[in-house]
Amino acid sequence: MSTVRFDQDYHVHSTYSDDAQSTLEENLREAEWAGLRTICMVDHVRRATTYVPDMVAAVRALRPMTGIEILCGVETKIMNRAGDLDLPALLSVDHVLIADHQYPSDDGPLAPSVVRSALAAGTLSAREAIECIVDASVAAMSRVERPVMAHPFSLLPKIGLDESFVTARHLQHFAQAARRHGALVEVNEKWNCPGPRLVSELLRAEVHLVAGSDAHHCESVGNYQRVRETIAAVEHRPPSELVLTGR
Amino acid sequence: MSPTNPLSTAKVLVTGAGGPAAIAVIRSLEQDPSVTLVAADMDPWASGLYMVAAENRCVVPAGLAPDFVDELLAICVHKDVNILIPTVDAELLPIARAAHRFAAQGIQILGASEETLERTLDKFALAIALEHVVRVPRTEFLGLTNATTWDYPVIVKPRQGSGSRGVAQINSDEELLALRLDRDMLIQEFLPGDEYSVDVLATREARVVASVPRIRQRVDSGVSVAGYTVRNPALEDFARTVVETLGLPFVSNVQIRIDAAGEPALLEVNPRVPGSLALTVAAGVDMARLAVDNLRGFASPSYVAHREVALVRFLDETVVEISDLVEGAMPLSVGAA
Repeated sequence: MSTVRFDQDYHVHSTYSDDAQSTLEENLREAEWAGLRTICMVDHVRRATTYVPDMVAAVRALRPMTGIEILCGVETKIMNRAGDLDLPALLSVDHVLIADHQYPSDDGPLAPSVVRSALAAGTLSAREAIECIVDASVAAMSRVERPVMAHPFSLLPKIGLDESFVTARHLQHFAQAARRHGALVEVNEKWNCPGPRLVSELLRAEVHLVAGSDAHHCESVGNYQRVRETIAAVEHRPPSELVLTGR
Repeated sequence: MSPTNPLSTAKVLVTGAGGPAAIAVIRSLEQDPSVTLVAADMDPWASGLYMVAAENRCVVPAGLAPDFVDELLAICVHKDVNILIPTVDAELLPIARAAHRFAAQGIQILGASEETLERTLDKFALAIALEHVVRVPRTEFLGLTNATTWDYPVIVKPRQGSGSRGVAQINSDEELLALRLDRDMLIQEFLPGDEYSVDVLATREARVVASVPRIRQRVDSGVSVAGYTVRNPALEDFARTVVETLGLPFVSNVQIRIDAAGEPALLEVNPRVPGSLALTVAAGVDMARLAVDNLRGFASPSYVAHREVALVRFLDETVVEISDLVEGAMPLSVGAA
């Protein structure tokens, strides 16, 4: 069995998200044809979002053809270094996906381009930037129950950095918090992160990793190319050997 | 992964609407908003008729009637049906023999071909087809057998037919020799162990996708009213091998009994949706919807696992306005009063 189950997809967007094209039903059907055993329907939320009760009801009303487990989640961004989340109140979801869509500075979210400029100008160091992202992520994990850290460190390429700037000490801090708060950590197909090094260290720290396609169209549900390559590199075997678990 | 030209909506006609298999199929397919259901039965009182919209309730001749296929085809064309699901044994062969006529009207049949059906429904042909593939009980023609070569008890059964009709247990060679010799009767080795009924889902090409063994704990009038599914790789593989060897597509049911040595052996194969499909659906394999999706041109999963679950059944009812009864249900004088 592989360290990440490819018969799960923890990150599937539906038409409740502005930028996604497939309905909940289309995503479910695709997941079932693909033989998935777990799907987490996830849509983007902000503080002012009001559709969540409708979406949760629609997900709970889905009628699967197989024994697939259907979970319901929302995806939110980390607002600042204190780990505040851009989340409406009163959620009855299975998971909250916590994402680094913007740079979570002490004073609130900053656009990646602003941070990139600051790094280029030398007013912010790479080390400080990474530390801020890790601090914010760790703080955010304690804010909700059943958190899933979505595409961790996807922000780095957007601010001109990469995962090599994340030190073992940063990762220890991140992994220990994830274990303490029971957070799942997503290996994300769309953003192709985290990479093999971070995945190895997270596994060594016994963090529970899950795969997510970040599908915005049903054709991408459960379709893992880059995640397979990452896991294959971690496990030192060809991606073709990684079959769906449970088969 | 996604198909090129799948049917985005489908109109599905289910026959035998009074029977448990059709009810289970209707219950399953009504979960899919892209499917419109049409129900047919020879009896205007068949309960399944009243589970679909009033304009989609159809009365058809009996499966053995000479005009059955013509009438059914006319209804399918008139109602723009894409997919036909026969659930009555007597209808299977007449429909399969007319498959080309249905296909010419764009109607696909959720069932096996004529050739496959004949091999499956003829219990002698079935034993021959599978004797080197799975454990098949010794089977001979009653009229050609040597009564002294059998260990008793034995089973005699008609070469054709399903369920327990015409099946008898014979306890000695004297009893066997006293039987009237009918050339269509078979004699078969008695299997003393537990019986399992395995529901199997396969693709159009007869690649098995799911194999769900269950135990019928209580049977009333030939219908299982209480039972449970089991996970048992030996039984699942046995049924898979049977279905793939016979080339049975879509939904079928393999009956297995444990022999004196404790090994699974073949009892018979029902090449149609079983009456207790609801249990298999509850176990996590909605065979009706998955098979219809496959016929519609959608990709099929490579494997669907099931879980162990039990089911008990009870009667349920639907109240229908007299004016909504299907024509022929009541004598005209009553409705006119």
